[in-house]
Formats: sequence, C-alpha cells, structure tokens
Amino acid sequence: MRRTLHSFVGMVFGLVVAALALSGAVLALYPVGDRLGAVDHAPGLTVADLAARVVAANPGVEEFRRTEGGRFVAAVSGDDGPANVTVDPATGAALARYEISPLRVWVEDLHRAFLTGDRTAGHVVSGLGAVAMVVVLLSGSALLHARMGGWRRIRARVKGAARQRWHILVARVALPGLALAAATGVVLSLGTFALVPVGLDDRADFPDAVDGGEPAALESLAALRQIRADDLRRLVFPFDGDPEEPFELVTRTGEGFVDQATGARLTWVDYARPRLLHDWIVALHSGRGLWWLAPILGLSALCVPWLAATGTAIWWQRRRARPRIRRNVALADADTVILVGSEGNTTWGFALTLQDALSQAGHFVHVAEMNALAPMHTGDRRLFVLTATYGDGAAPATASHFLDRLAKVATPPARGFTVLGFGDREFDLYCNYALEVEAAMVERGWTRFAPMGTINRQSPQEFARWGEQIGGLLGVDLRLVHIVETPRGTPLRLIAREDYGQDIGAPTAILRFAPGGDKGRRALPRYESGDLLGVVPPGSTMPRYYSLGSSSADGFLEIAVRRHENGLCSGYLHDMVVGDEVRGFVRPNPEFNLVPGKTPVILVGAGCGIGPLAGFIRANRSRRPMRLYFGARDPKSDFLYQHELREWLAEGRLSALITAFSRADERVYLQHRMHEDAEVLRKMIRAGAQVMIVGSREMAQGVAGAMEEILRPAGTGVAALRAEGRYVEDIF
Amino acid sequence: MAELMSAFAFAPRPRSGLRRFLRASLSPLALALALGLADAAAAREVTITARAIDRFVGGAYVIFYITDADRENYQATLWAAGDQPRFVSEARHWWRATGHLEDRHAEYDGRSGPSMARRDVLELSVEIADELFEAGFVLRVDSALWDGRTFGSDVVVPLTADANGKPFEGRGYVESVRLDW
Repeated sequence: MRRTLHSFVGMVFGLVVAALALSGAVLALYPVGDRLGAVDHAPGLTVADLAARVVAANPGVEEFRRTEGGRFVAAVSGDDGPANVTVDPATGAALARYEISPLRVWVEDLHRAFLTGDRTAGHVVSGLGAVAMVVVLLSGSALLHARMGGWRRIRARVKGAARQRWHILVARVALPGLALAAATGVVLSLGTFALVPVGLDDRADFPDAVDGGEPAALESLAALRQIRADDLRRLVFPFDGDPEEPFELVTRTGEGFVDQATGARLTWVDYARPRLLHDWIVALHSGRGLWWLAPILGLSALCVPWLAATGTAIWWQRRRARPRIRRNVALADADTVILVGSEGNTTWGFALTLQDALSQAGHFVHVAEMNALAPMHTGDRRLFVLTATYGDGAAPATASHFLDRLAKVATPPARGFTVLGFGDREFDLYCNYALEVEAAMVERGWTRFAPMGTINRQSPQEFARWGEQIGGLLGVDLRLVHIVETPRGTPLRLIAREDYGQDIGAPTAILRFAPGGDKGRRALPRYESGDLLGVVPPGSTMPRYYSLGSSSADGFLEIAVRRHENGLCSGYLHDMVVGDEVRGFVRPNPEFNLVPGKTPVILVGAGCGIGPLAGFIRANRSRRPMRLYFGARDPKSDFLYQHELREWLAEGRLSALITAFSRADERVYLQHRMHEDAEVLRKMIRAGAQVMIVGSREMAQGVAGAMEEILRPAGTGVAALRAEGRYVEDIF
Repeated sequence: MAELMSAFAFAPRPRSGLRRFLRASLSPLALALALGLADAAAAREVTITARAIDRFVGGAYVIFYITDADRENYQATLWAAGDQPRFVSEARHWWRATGHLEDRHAEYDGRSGPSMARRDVLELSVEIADELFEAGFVLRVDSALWDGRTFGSDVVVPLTADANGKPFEGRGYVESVRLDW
C-alpha cells in the first residue's frame, strides 16, 4: 500500500515536484548571498539614528528597509530614475546598487505560482505539489523503515540492486531537509488560500489626520527611537516631503504610522501570534534570516530530480518483473490466500493455476508474495503457501522476510494452512526452505489442513496429483493443469573450455560462452561477476544457475561447472564441444557483487567456487588489495585458473594467493591457512575489508568458524560483519 | 450590486509574445451611476491601457480613480486590479481621497479583477463624462505589492486634450498608462 502510494503520487506529480525542488534549490542561494552582503553595525543602533544618517547621505531617499540577511537597502530617486542601493549603517552612505536579478524573479514566480503571476490556478498547482511531496516523503519513510528493519538501523549499509541502493542512499541524506521544506511549503500554501489563519490582515489603517506641525528632527522621533535597527523591516518616508503625510514604519513585531512632527505613533498594530508564526514558517521554508539553513534545504532539494529518476526506474523494473495477477480478489473479500515464495518467477505460474482452479470451484482467492504476510492475511481464511527454495535451503527472493513477519502475526488462519514446496531432488536438502516454513508455522500452533507437498523439478503431473489430494480434502473438484513457462533465454555459443580434475574423479570445467544468435551482445543485459547464468538444458524445463566469473565488459560469460553424477545440466555442459550452443539467460545477484571502492577484499573459494572469485580478480582494474584463499584436492589436477592466477599476481590484480590442497602430500584445509594468517586478516578487516565465500555448506561453516575465532581478539565477529553486508556467502 | 457586476465583460485574451493581455469594459450605466449623473449621454468612451513593469514577483495591486490635481475632490474609482480587502489599504492616496466616504469598498464593487503580474497589459474600456475633461481632474493610479513597495500616485494622467494617446510613465509598478478616446 505504501509503495503504491509512494510510486503513484511520486510519478503523477513528478514534474511539478521536480520543478518546485529545482526552483527552490536556486532560491536557496539568495539568503546566503544576502547574509554575506550585510555590513556590521553597532548593536544598539536605533532606527531614528539610522534614518537620520541615511537621509543625510541620500537626500532623495523614499524608503529604506532591512533584508532578512541584515542588509540595509534604500530606495532613492537618482538622476536616471528610481534605484535601490545598499547603505552602510554606520554612515548612511550608499555602497552599491541593489537589484533583484531577472532570473530570481522568474524562478520565484515559478516556485510560487508556476509562472502565472498571481493566479489562483498557479498557486493551486504549487500547493498540490507541496502536498504530493509530503505524501511521498511519509510513504517513503515508512518504506525505508520497513526495509532497513527499524529506525535504529536506519544508517546501516543498504543492500539490494544498484538502482534501489542509490535511491535509498540519496533519500536518506535528503529526507530531513525535504521534510522541512515540504511541510512548511504546505502550510504556506494553505495560507495563500486563507485556509489557515496567517494574520496578513493585521494592517494599521492609514491615519486620517496628522499633527501637521513642523517636522521634527529624525533622531528625535520617539517612535523611531524605540525600535532597534535589527528589528526594522521597512521605513517609508512621507510622500514628497509633505508635512501632511506620516512615516510608515514596519517592524518584525508590528507596524503603523508615525507623525512627522510629534514622533508619536498615529496608528499601530502589534502582530498577533498567527502572523508571527507565519513569519517563522517563511523563514524555515526559505532560509531567509536563517542563512545556514538555506544551503541544507537547497542541497536536499537538488536530490529530488535524482530521486524521481531512480524512483521511476525502480517502478519500471518492478512492473516488468511482476507477474500479472489478473483476477486477484481483494483481500477483504477473499476466503483463500495463496502466498508465493518465488526466486525466478516460475512458482508464480503454479500459484496462478491454483488460483484459477480454486476460483472456478467457487472460492475467492487472493494471491500475494510471502514477504507481504500481514495479520490481515489470516482471519477466517484458508492459507496456501507455495514456495521454492533458493540454493541450498535459503529463502527465495519474495520470501526473504517471511519468517520475521510470521512472528508478528498473532492469529492463525481459521481454516488452516498447507505448504507446497518446489525443489529439485538433485540437491541434498530437497525443499528445505518449505520444510522450515512449515515447521515454523506448526510451532506457532497453527493447524494444517493438509500435510506438506513437494513438487520435483516443476513437474506438472506431480502438481496435478497434489491438486487432486487437496481437492479431496476440500470437497471440490480441483483440476490443476499447469503449463510450465520456460524462460527462453538466448543462444550461447561455447568458445573455449579448460578441463580439470578428471584423473582424481572430480571433473570440473571452466566454460567460456559468447552470446550467439542474431542479436549477439545486445541480447543480454549488463552483468558482472557474482551474477547468475541460468542455463536451460534440452529436455528440461527448469533452469540451473551458475555463478558468473566475468562481466559484460569482458564480452564473454565464464562459469566453472563441476560434473554431478546424475546432473542433467552439468552433464550436458560437460559434453559440449567448442562451437556448440545452449540456451541461457542472466539474472542479477546483487547480494554477491563487490562493494565499489578500494577497500580490501578477502576471497575464499573451493573447487569450482573459484569461478566468480576469478571474475572479481580479473575485473580488479583499480588494484584494490585482494587476498584469495583457494582450496582444491590436488595441485596437479584441479588447480583451476592456475596460470591466470599467476598472471594476476604479477599484474597486481591479486595481492596474495594462499592454497590448500586436501589430497596433496601435506594435507591442509583452508581453515588452517586462514588461522596462520590471523593477524593479516584482522588488519584487513579493520581496514574495512569484505569477505566473499563460495563453496559448499560444510566449507562455509568451517570458514565461518575459523573467522569467528580469528576476529574475536579484534572485538568483532562474523555476525557483525554479516549485518554490515561485509560477509557474504554463495553456497552451492 | 448584481446589476453592476453583470455589466461587465471580462475576457482575458492571451496574446502571443511576452506580455499578457487583459481586457475589461464597463457599461455606461455603471459609470453614470457612480458619477451620479443623470445624463449619461454626455460621456466619451475612453480606452485605458496600462502596462506593468518587469521586475517583481507575484501580483501587484493597481487601482484607477479620478481626483483633482491636489488629490482631493474624489470622483470615482474606475477599476481595481486585485480587490482583496487587505490590499486596499495599500493604495495610500486612494485611501486618503476616499476618506470621507462611509463605505470606500463599495467604490470598486463590480469593478475589479485579478491583480497585475509583471509585464501584464491591462486594457480598460470606460465611459467618462465630458464634464470631467479640461476641468482640472486627473486620472490617478496607485500601485502596491504585498511584500514590496507602495506607490500612491504611481501614474498621474491629466484629463486634457493633449493627453490623448500619450503614454505617461509611472514611478512604481506601473510602467506606463495611456488614454485613448
């Protein structure tokens, strides 16, 4: 809901808000300039003395005023017409001409009334823009809070895809300034339409009669002597020097007319609270009189076009990625809820088939992602949880926060729940995440209406059989006819391969592909090391993912593949000959990309896990320190990238290479090597290093244990680094 | 009141180019009533063209009225561009000139329109009784800006034959005013 509000309002009012922000940023320059142009004066200076000096030095002066920044500007009639000049408060002498630039006039007109001058329509547009700004900021703050996991973590490292990271980083910085500007802007707008009292009708009446006697000396006028120069807004001299005319005196706290002869106030009004408050709000909005605030507001405002652009990009990306749930029933009307945990969007397809079938059987079904779990989803409903498993037991993308959110849902679904897991029996822990989810829900005391089902390799037949079982329990005829949508991908041509490990029974190959087909390079989006290549072998509908060890700048896609005994995809890839083609696509994996910069990097990989790590080293043009720990079995057989690593060491792309071979003469494991380097590793971590680990679950656990011990004397640990996003594992 | 108000045809007509063009015309009946003249026939149709200067933000309040050369003997208010009560008191000389009236605000009832933005051109078609010409009366224009300056007698145009078609410069927010009849 907040996201919809945020994107919708943001995009509908995008141009208006951007125009307001840019014009506001320009206007923020002037209070600073104003302050810089102010000349110091004695603190006790009164308006009477100042007026006397100004008149003495500039006989033709008609009025003079004090700008919010402290400059005194006099309006004189010179030889070539009326002019404004800055005056020195100490002497009254004119210092320089003072003119408001045409640019400023134009920009201010744009900001206040969209270039319509003073028309209501223009003010309305500006006002709506300010309101839209407030709505966007509030919804954005709510999203930020949810994403970072609480206000305390608001300054933690931002994770996620590049576009979102940039949006959030800039938004975090600009938020306070924008909030102040937008809120005060809304109040000022309401004041323009007199929807809030602003006390602008506090005027003193022009006096009908004056004393008419001989005008007294300026310094002696009592009403002028009791006002300090710093409290002055404006002093208007009597028109044409006419003794029948009064002075007009406007101060920060009131205004009125003063008699030339007696020096007394003829009519006077002290501003009421609404007016004083309004003046404060103007100051907070524009930085006038608070010159230090102006740059803060201006810089925050400059972020708006960037936020609008990145925001739109994010929206567009989400829109393209989202499956179209065509007949989604509103939650309030639904008696059945399907929550989906999907990584590559295939599970959504199954969920939609289930939704169709249940709808035809007379149910009202609402489909949402598992991350959207809220107390509203339970109640008097039946809950289906369909989820894939990511890698080796991790939650898929749309279920990353599910278990956390589960803890906050108090009431169970009255009609029970059931979990359906999607997995691949090739993995040891088949449907592991689905099991975790079911266990968590059972632990909370929720009742299942059916035991957990599993679907192997997206089999439509298994899905249909599961549908029959469920239908039997619900007492309806549930026919699930699912047609699996395979991602088509583009043809990839094998252009080189290097084989290792055949003699020790662990065949591993480094395969290098180039985009084939007619479209060539253009068919693939931008990718970097750590991202995933999804390969769809012939005879299968399910893609397998491999970590990329190259980036689009290299022009090829390189993966390291270990041949599994029953592996359909790995077997096919290993049997490929240079020149053969296979279909594949690229998926970003932002969790496993390097943080940009020159901080050191600790790379730990075993066997074919070195694939993405080699990609990082190859792309290390900035020569940031990279330390690689590589584990394999036999240096003569499966030392992947041996030659390239030597080159990279010579070139400086790799600072240090530490190997551990488990089957060589001296049996040693990676953890031992790391313990030997404990001091060096501690130093690197203190310098801000990030740790990237690729390997099996056991290897990752072993390395984590070693790192925990190594870091303990440094006062930190693996959990702390993980929280900062500096300890990332890619487990296969 | 409603009668007076219905007597206007106010049609803003944006012109190509940089200036905005506003037009208003007042019926002879309205002005005759204001002047208290029984005979509306001895009046001439006058076109008043007023241009605002370039350098201000927002809407300037501009009021057109007739007095004698000493700012006395107030006759009538022809038009108020910007009629919010809070602006009215900014028209200093007008305020003084209408001081003797019980209800000064009625003077511009039905004869008002939006304020003038920078560079606006306001064209008024009014009927002014012949009596007022060559009799020492002047067309006076006061102008003011909310957070700017106040100019009583911004422009003063004598109602004489040689003022016909001649632009008179203003010292404030009005750049010039020209009468044509």
